[in-house]
Amino acid sequence: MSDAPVVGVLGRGVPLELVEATGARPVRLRGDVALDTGGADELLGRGIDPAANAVLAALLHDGFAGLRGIVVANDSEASLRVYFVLRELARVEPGAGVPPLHLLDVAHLDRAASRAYTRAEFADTAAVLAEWTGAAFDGDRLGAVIARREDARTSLAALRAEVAGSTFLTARLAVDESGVLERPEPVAAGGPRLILSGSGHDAPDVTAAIESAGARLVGDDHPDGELGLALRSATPDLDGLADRYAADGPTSHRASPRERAEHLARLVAERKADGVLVYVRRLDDAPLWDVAAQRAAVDVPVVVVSGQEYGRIDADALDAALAELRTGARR
Amino acid sequence: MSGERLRSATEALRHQREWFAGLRDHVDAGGAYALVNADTPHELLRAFDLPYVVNQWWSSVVSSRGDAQGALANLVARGLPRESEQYNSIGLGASLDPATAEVDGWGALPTPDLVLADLTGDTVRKVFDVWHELLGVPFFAFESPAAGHTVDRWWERIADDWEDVVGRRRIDLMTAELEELADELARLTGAPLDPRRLDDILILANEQAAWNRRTRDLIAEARPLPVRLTDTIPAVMLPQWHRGSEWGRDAARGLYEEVAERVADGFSVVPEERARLMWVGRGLWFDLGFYRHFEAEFGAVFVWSMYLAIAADAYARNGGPALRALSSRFIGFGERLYAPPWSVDWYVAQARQHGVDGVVHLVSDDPRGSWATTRALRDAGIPVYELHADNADAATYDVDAVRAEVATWLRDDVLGRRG
Repeated sequence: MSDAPVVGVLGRGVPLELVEATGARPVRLRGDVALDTGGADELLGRGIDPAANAVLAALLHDGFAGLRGIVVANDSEASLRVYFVLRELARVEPGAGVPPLHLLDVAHLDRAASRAYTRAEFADTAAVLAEWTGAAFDGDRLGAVIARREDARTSLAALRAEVAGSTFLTARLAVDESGVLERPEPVAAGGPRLILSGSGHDAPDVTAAIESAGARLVGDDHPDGELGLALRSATPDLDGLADRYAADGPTSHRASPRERAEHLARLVAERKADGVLVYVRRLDDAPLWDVAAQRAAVDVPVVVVSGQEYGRIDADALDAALAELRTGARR
Repeated sequence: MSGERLRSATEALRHQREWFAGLRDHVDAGGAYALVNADTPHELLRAFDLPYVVNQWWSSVVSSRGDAQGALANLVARGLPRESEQYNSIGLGASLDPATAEVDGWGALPTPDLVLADLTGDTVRKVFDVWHELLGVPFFAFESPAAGHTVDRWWERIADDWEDVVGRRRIDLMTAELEELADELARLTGAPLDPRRLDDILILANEQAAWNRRTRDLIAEARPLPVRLTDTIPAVMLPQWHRGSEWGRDAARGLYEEVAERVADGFSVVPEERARLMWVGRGLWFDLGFYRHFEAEFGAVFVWSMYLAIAADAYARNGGPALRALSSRFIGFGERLYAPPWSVDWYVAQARQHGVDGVVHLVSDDPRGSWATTRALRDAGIPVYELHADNADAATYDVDAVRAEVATWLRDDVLGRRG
């Protein structure tokens, strides 16, 4: 794998299995909290989830080095806007070195037409990846990669209840890139048992901060954690894979407040959670619309820490939130 | 200078009040109606004789009456966010509390029997989800498919080559959704879809688009400007919400004839016109005086907004099966306004067609961004002022400060660059 061409991926809907099966190594594009985002802010504006600006800043900083191409899934407004900016940057500044881009659109409504659309998008993506890597599409290879990766994902999902939040997230991010599970060690930790809801995380900084402050994250419903992890393709082929990605769990960006609340209620009961911490980045507004329904659906406190910057959680806000969760108050 | 208002704008407003009163009577008598997002296929509802209210229109009514803050406060009282999707959620907010539902001069929006929206972005759907989950209104959602392909000068091709310009796969998807919606509308109204009625509606919509195109072209060419934005916006948009009706078509024709009459009579908004400005972005509904403010001191007139221009360029569809043509009208609609290169190439072409001297570009804290639009216009040699504000929320808008800044820009960058 190490000599394989690298394909940058952005967005939950990019089929990592397909990237690997066509001979490439998928690398998730992520931000770097230490980088200044001024250049990215100029291109994207500051009216969008700052995770998008962080990802773009990292790309601009690294000069797209080593990327054979970038596949972006339309899983959120943030991902889509990064794609539009990269496409336009490639058009107006050819010297910027933007690699070939491909937008993959995954439709999530539970309709036959949406599934057919997504399957066609996956077929297109397979052709594009084959063109980038020079490797013809191989259905048997894809089937083997799907099986291996889904075994790793479902094994990780089965460990969720015994692995603390940031350790789990680290393992989750690693299994996406490598397709292999390095079994994380269970972590004995005290503190209130919390479900982490809200914005996604492409690194464990925020989850580590929450746990350092004395909480144990026993579950999550954000786009980068356990959501959809236990799903398997009905058939180990391109269509089965497409259907799985289309039904990959109720993210805040693609599901209704009620769907989110029902999912959370099941999770709270299953994990015997003491409360829910909703972490929301500035301008990642979708989770804020879910909170009222989530509060109505569970019998534990639901506390919101909003307006946060990428990769960070305000220490005072976190302390106040945990204090509320301990007293059982609702904010 | 003349303050005389367009007869077309006055008539459109008169018709809208009469129509809305009629809708309320219809509902009071037990009739059904739908609340719909702007970029959804209203024409299909019209084919079923199901009245509809456009969500963004109702939001603009609530805002223009100064009731937006109360509506947003209602959202907060229900644990919903105040600062998200304000433009789309004001109508919902106003309806959450009977005490605030009455809008001065208009009455209250009745509870709809159906809400319709496309799943554009992350949060538009949430507004309509809440209509369903809190207020029990059925919600029919359309996917918002995005595509990577782009087409040069889409505005010259889309009316006839819409399958290629928009993309067959996306049209397949939305056509299937329209068929499903048609089944639902048949259940709601008790009658099946009459394909000939839909065909007639699409013909009328095309005629309306053709009149809008003639009006846009006439305004672009005329010197000086014969009609204000604040008149053309309601004169165009209110009929747009009645697209596919004879009234809508006739209103568009009436607008053209009135503008042509003004041009023939030598009527001018500002006889000593010195600067022709383009407004890019949604309308500044709570400060419509902005668009006239620079006439007296600078001879600056706003000659363009997206409302007439997009009505002129993006709606006509010729040939093909009706539901496919109708689908293609809405798929990617937002891309043509807000995603480069579709949007920016069109803005530059429009600026050139209208002989624009400067652009005021509304930049809000939303995902649309501004870089590509501002860059493309400046690369084309056109000065751009970025006005940072939210078009639906006056709470953080300093009228005097904004006008002073624009005045400085006009003086220095627009008029000043001529020497």
